[in-house]
Amino acid sequence: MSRKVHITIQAGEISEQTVEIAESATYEDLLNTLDINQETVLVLNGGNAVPLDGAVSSDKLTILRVVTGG
Amino acid sequence: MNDFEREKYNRQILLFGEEGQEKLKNAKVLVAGAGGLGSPVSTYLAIAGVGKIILADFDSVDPSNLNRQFLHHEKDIGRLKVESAKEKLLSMNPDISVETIAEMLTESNLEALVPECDVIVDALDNLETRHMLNRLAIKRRIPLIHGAVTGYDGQVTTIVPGETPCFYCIFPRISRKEVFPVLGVTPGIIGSIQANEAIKFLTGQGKLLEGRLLFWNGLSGNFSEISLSKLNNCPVCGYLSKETENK
Repeated sequence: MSRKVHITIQAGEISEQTVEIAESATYEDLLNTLDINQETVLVLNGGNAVPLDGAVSSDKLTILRVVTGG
Repeated sequence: MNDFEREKYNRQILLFGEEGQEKLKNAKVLVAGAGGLGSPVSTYLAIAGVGKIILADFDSVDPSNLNRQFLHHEKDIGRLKVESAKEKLLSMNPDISVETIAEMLTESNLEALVPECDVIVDALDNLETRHMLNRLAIKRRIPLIHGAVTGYDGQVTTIVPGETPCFYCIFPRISRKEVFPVLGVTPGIIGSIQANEAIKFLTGQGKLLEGRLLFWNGLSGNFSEISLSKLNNCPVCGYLSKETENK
């Protein structure tokens, strides 16, 4: 079984895409599917950051690039 | 407070009174990093009259710093950033004191090097040291004001031990330090917001960015914010939540 998740990626510019993931996929799996390094982003569900090892529980997510410079 | 100080700080005494100004005068703030963020943070704290600024940075001034690190000038290339910054800050406000830490902060020397202070401002350029400072802030139960920048983007949040998610709750992973592109204006905006947070905390004014991560995107000219949640069993701040629950 798989499901579709709508992703908004905010990394300077904003882009959107829909990806298909396994029903039991975690946020880590989702990032792997998108080929995004886990160390560089936050995944938000309804505006809240989610732990990446948790199961994807929404069909609408935002991925934010983490910035580290000073 | 003498007459000259009353005159010098008059426009902000109108905001928080002489009582607030005295609070700033008696405050000790650690600014970790004397670079892109550290320049606006320490400048605004200094001219606001924060009595003691403790500046920590082991690095020396490099030509590539000069597009944003305005406390350092061409003549300072090769000097320790903390010495260059201290000179400018005391020139702007000779009535404050600036203490410097020119050693690299490590897990083993952090406790000994960082003196007692009221608040820590994270003006660093890497996640590893940020996690160390987070642990120190949690242990000492003092706020940590986080800021970071890249390119036209920046972010700020204020971490209050026991009240808000800590830095580990928000960014549990450590990514490598990288050379990042940045326009000088970006740390100017983010560092100014961090200084504003520190002054609000010290004077007891306004609403802090507690549990909120504020983003700035300079290309679109937009601010946005997200709410943050504590990790269920955070290895750094989890014990504080349990203490609160048990009260």
